[in-house]
Amino acid sequence: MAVPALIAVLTDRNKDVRQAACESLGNLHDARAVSGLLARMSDESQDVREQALDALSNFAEELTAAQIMPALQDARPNVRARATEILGQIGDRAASPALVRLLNDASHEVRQHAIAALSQLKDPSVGPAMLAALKDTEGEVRSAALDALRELKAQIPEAQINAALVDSSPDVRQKALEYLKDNLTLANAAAIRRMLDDSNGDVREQAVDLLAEMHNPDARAALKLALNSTDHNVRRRAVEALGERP
Amino acid sequence: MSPLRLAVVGVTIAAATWTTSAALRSSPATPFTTTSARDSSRPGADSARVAMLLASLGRGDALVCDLLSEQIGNYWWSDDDHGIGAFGDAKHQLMSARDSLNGSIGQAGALRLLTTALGADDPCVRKVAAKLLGRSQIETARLVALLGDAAPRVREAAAYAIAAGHHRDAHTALEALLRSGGTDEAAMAAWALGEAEDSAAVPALLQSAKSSAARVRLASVVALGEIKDERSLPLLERALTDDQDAAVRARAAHAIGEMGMMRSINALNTAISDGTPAVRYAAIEAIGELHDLEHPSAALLQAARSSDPKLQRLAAMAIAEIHDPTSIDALIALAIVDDRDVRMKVSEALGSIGSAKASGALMRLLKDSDAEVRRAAAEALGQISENGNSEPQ
Repeated sequence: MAVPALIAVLTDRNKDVRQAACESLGNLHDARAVSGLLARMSDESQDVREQALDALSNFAEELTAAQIMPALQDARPNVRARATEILGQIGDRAASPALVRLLNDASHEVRQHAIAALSQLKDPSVGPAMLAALKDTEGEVRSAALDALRELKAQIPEAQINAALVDSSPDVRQKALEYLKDNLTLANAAAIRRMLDDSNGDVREQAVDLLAEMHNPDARAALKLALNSTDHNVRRRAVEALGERP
Repeated sequence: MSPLRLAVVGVTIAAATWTTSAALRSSPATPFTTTSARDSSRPGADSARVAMLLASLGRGDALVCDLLSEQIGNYWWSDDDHGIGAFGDAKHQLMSARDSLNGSIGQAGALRLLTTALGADDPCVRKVAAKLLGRSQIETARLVALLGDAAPRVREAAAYAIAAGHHRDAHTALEALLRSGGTDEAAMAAWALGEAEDSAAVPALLQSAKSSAARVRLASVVALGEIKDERSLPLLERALTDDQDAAVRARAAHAIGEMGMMRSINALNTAISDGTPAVRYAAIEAIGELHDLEHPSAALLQAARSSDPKLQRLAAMAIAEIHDPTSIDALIALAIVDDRDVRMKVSEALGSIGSAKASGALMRLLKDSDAEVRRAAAEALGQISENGNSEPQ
């Protein structure tokens, strides 16, 4: 009974009422609300549109990509970001081209969300676009792109992964090391040895861990150097790694 | 008339109304010195300005004086405005003169004029002088000495000055005035002690709250409400139910609410049926302030059915504030009260309680004429399943 009453106020003349109705219908999780919520995607109020998308994210299994894709062109970045999330949940690769276009969105949050959604779609054809995103101006976007490439098991050219290892963002450097852990043949012990002196503690530890998994003489030599690190976490991990493989 | 001539007139007026002060005579030559407690970074008015002001206030419209007495200390400096927002032909000196009243007066002559004016006939002139003197660079010790002046009105003004200038370390002298002074001075001393919010004054205020003078009791209760010391609760609860003066009872309710302790609930419940509406209202508002109230009392629920709309509204707001599942029937009944704030608050409470029993009432509120009420009802309906109850079919 409450659901039809709330659906009726989705078209209230007051935007705060429409927004509250969207929020509540999202909470109540009743599929009867879907078409009413979809209609709110073209509400004149940005708050209502955002809340409608927010509510629709509870109904991904009831939705098609085509129903949500119009919201990717919304004027408000939050609405576009929400739409990418839902498209990721729906998981239909039909949305890939539209999501790839958002890798050039003006908002870095939208670009980041688009990458996350594409990663959920597991569409191998987006690899080249994702490689381009490694050159994004925002560290968070580059980091998300590395995550996605790892998820997609895509090949990153050596020059690009080496660039990521010396990225200005510690998060990107760490993600690059994680990628190399899954792609040990690309890992270059000399480059990774330099990261034992990284300014970021997490990166240093990640570098030791990677060297430990490489199982080659260069990596073992680098681990011995790590025994002299001023970072006790690095020394401890190096001892453990060398101890495991005498 | 030239400023100089006005200044002379001011001094003459002030001198004629000045009651000779023992405290001042004892050390007439001691210069006024700066205390670190007050902001002395801004220059204050000089004696000519003070004399002119006091003289004109004493003769002009009493309302103008009253407005000014409230205004001092309450406005921003006008510098950096470059006169924008002022009329083109407004005099710039006037702005700096105005600012000088906001500054901390330090000139000995000006301080002497202000001290003299504490004995003026006109109460508003006394108030302005006391405020300026309290905010001046005068030493606290000088004001404390004035609390022992021979003239009651000077003692009263000195107590006001101490509070207006936030002078610390005056509570012993204020307590003495509270004990020994006449009604007006004692009431002012109580008020000043409350303004200082110092618990040390509580025992003295608990005594003065039993004064035979209603004005002193009222000021004491107000002060105890400002200080918020739990030691005063037994007295405040007695004052709430037993004081013969309605204003004292109402202020006691307010003070009890400020402390928000559950122990006061019985006294507040009793006061809901006080003979004076203002006391009943204050009691209900105080119940709304209690920190740990879990269920509305029978008296409060009854007040929510009152034919007095104001009492009903206050009771409804207090009940809704509690979010008590056992009061859901009362809340549903209140969802039709002719007051949008009540209906909104009730919607929020019903949402937070989350019982499906409230769905019908909330659905009716979705059609409310007020958009805020519809919004609150729409939000609340979404919480009904969130809070674990299923929707009735």
